[in-house]
Formats: sequence, structure tokens, C-alpha cells
Amino acid sequence: MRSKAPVTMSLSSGKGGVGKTFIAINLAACLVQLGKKVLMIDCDLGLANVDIMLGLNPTHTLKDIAFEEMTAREVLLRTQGGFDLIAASSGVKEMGQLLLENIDRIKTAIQEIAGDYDYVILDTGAGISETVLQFNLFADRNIIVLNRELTSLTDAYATIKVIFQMFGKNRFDLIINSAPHAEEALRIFNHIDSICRRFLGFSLNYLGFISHDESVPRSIMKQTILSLAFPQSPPGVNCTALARKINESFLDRPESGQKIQADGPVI
Amino acid sequence: MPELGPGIKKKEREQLRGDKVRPEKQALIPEIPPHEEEGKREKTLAEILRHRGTGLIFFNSLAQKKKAVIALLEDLSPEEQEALLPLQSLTVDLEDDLLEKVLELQQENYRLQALALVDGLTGLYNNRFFTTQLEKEMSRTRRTGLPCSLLMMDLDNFKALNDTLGHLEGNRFLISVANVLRESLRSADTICRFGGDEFTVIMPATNLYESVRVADRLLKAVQALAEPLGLGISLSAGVCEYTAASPLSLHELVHATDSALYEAKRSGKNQVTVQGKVEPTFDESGMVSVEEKEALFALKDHLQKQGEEDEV
Repeated sequence: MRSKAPVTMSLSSGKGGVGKTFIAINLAACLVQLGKKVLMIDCDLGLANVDIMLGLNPTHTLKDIAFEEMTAREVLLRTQGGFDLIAASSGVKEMGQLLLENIDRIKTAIQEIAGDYDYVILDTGAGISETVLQFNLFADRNIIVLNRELTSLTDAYATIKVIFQMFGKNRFDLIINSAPHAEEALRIFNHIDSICRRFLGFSLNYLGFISHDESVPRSIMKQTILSLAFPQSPPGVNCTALARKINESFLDRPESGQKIQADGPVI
Repeated sequence: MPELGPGIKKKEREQLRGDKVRPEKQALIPEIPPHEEEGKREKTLAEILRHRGTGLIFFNSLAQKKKAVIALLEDLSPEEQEALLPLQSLTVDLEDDLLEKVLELQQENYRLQALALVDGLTGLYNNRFFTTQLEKEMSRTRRTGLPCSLLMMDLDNFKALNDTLGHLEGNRFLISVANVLRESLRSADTICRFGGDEFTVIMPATNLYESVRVADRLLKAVQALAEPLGLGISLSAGVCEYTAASPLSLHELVHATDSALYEAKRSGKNQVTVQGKVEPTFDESGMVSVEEKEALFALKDHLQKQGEEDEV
């Protein structure tokens, strides 16, 4: 049994449909492949879809923790990816937003079992709701996922700005999804990074990218985990690289705002 | 007829009012002593008489309320007028007096009006005021673009209290609930007793997310209040938001909120149910400045070019 606190990371995007959940699932699976114990929590209470993507049909969900005071262990699911999952309830209208105390209950429940894991991945909802912000505040590392769409770029930037202004957090890790190639991903990263430095006064950390590939929608349709089903596909390779990078850099947990790393982007 | 001020010359004055006062009687009324602050000083009886000219003079001094002095100058003999002279020293401010009376009546009017709008038991606003106020807040929302929220609440198992402890205790509890609501809400919020054990709150400039939190807080407060009674009394609430874009009429808004309350009751009581979609608290579009957007969009040309290349 582990006793050390795990690294908690949140995945947010601002805009929906950017591929945040896909990345969260594949990262979780890849980290398991690296021998880590991973807990994933679907915090997207408005439109839960981790369970759907994994072909699960949970009886108990995060809602039971938030409102019925069930423990995290009572609602845990074991997934095909080897990681544990706390699913969210979909289609419950009033669940889109949680009251602070419900969020606190969730946080407490996570902390109770956190010692069993190396990584806790929080898949937050779309938008910049207070629930999303609270999970970002709770997480040690804040990963922002964006793609090539301008709306995604703007929403990712808005998310970063709000979290920075509300909580003073200035350490964000970026993943560019559906990039045609590494150079394009880096270009998008450099662009948003330069805007952050110019307007917010800090730089971002580049984690990596996921290639635009038709194996992605195929794996989602089959409700399989791409990085396990097609590990040699470009996105599969990207996911493994991302997991390695996270495993190398996140465990150090530097004290304050990060500097651009040596292997980081060329500005 | 224009107001006749002391500044107007005697002859002009006479002309203006078609004076019928006989010259000898006019002489009775002394000239007004010049005063440095016109308008501020008290008027003498003589002045009043001068103002009103002949005819019925009715005044009601502060010192002798209800005692009216009627002087019909034309019917007074010179002796009588002589006898009246000491009264000149009695200064009265007729206009102020009248004004005071008007204000008194106005206050009384407000009090009665307020009585008609306030619930006698709890001192909260009543149903009638609720409708007027909701109308106002809805139009304010349309004007300012700021959403307002409507909250309808109903006590659960309140009947048990009336049945076991009597209606007097029941009423006392309703007053306590009203006080809890008053303490928990902002002064801008309008709290009404809708009737029986039903309460409504109109919250200006409050979105659905915020009002759900408020409702939740009220539920907790009432639960704490009812706990010692041990009768399972709690609060159910329905919340609905009205935005500038909302197509709802006042009636539909109330109905929607009422349905939410019904849903809260139906699905187990002591809970808040919302009608409509709970929007995120932060508007992303407002968060990013024009300069930031311009900078972000500078990538656009490149991305479009890239998109074309992909399709080829």
C-alpha cells in the first residue's frame, strides 16, 4: 500500500469536443502501462462520457459521493485500461453545477483513497463553470487541452486566464490535440504561450500533442482504448510519449511557477 | 391667479384681486416689516389676512389644533377689528401647517398602502406586492441585461406542527422562518409570504447558479430552526431564472418556478429543484479582451492555409 500523496492532475479545455476525455482515458491507460496506479474521475457532471467511452454501465457515480455521502470505494469501477474510475452521472440537469460543499465532499472522498494511487486524473467538464474551476484549484497540475480551432484556442486561453486570476495559479501544461504534425502543434503552442507571456506574464509548459488520425474516432466507436488497441498508431505513440513526459516531470512537483524547460519549445 | 407676494405693490395687488376691501379696513392691516430672509420667516396674522384678502379666513394654529378661527373681515365693525389686533401677535404659519397636515395624511396613506402590501403575521410582503415587484424586476432585467431569479419555497410537514402544537405555535414558527429568511437574504431581495407556509423570494441581478446556492443556504437554515421540534419539518424550493432573452411572461415564470417547487416536493422534499439550464458562472467571451482576441486570432490565417493543405 502506498502512503505518499499522488499527483492530481486536471484536464480542462474550456470548449467542449476538443478531445479532452479521449486524452484523459489514454493517458490513464498509458500511465498504467508504465506501472503506475491511476484513478480517473469523470468530473463532467453535465455530460458524463468516460463510462460511455469505456463501455461501462455504472450503478453508482460521483453523484452518490456528492449527494448521498457514499465513499469513493463504494463507487469505484475497474476499467479495461487497468485504472480505476469514478464515473459521473449524465443527463441529470441540476448536476451540471455543484454547490461548493458537494465539491468539498468529492474532494474529501478522493483524499480518502488517494494514498492508493500514483496519479489521480480529473476529467473536468466543458466551459469555465465554478465546478470546473474548483477541480482545477484542487489539482496539483492543470493540463489544458486544445486543438487547431480558433474557438478552442480562445477558450483554452480564457480558462488559463480565469484560473490564474481567481487562484493565482500560473503553471499550466498544454496538450495540442488533432495536430497534423509535431511542428504544427508546436506552432499552436508557441502562439498561445506568447500571448500568455504578453498579457498574463507567465509562460506555459508544453507537454506534447496527439496526431490527427482516423484511428481516433474508430477507437471511440468501438469503445476501446486506442493506446492499448493500436499502440503503434501515431496517436498511440503520442499518448505513450505524453505519459512518459508526465511521469518524468510531474513527480518532481517543483515548488513554484515553471521555467521553460530545456527540451521545451523554441520561441 | 398668481400668488400675491409681499413684494408686489399695494395698488397692483388691489388690481390683481379686484380688491373689495374698503380703504379704512385696509389701513387696519399694517405694512409688513421688511425682512432680510423672505420666505423663511413666520407670517403674521396680518400678513395672512393680506394674502387672502377679504372673505373667509380659516386657520388652524399649531397651538390650538381643531380650533378654527373664522374671520369675515367685511362683517366686522371697526371695534371688533380693533379687538382682533392682539391676534396679530399670534404668529402662525398657515402654509406650513397645511403642509404638515398633508404630510400627515400622506404618511397615513403610505401606512395603509403598506398594510395592504404586507403580510400581517410575518411582516413580509404579501402576494399582491410580489406581483408588482416581479413585474418591475423582470423589466429591469430586460433593460439592464442582468438576470433575476425567482425562488419559491414551501415548508415540508408543516401541518404536523399545527396538529401537535396548535396553530399559535404554528404561527410562531412561521414568524421565525420569516426572520431566518430576512437574515439570510440581501436587502435587495424581495421576500414575500405567498400564503400559508409558502414563501417567495425575488432576487435581482442573480443568476440561476447563485440563486441555487442561496436556496440551499435557506434550506439549511430552516432545517436548523426546525430540528429541535423533531417533527420532520424542512423546506423545499424551486428556482427559476429570468434573463433578458427569456421568452417567459410573468405568469409563465411563476408557473415554471412553481413546477420546480412541486418537483422538489414530489421527489422527496428538503431539496432545491431548478427549472431550466444552469449556465456556467463565467462568461468566457467576456473574459478575453479585444487585444487578447486579436492576438489569438492572428493564428487564423495560418490555420486556414493549413486546413486547405489538409484537404488537398
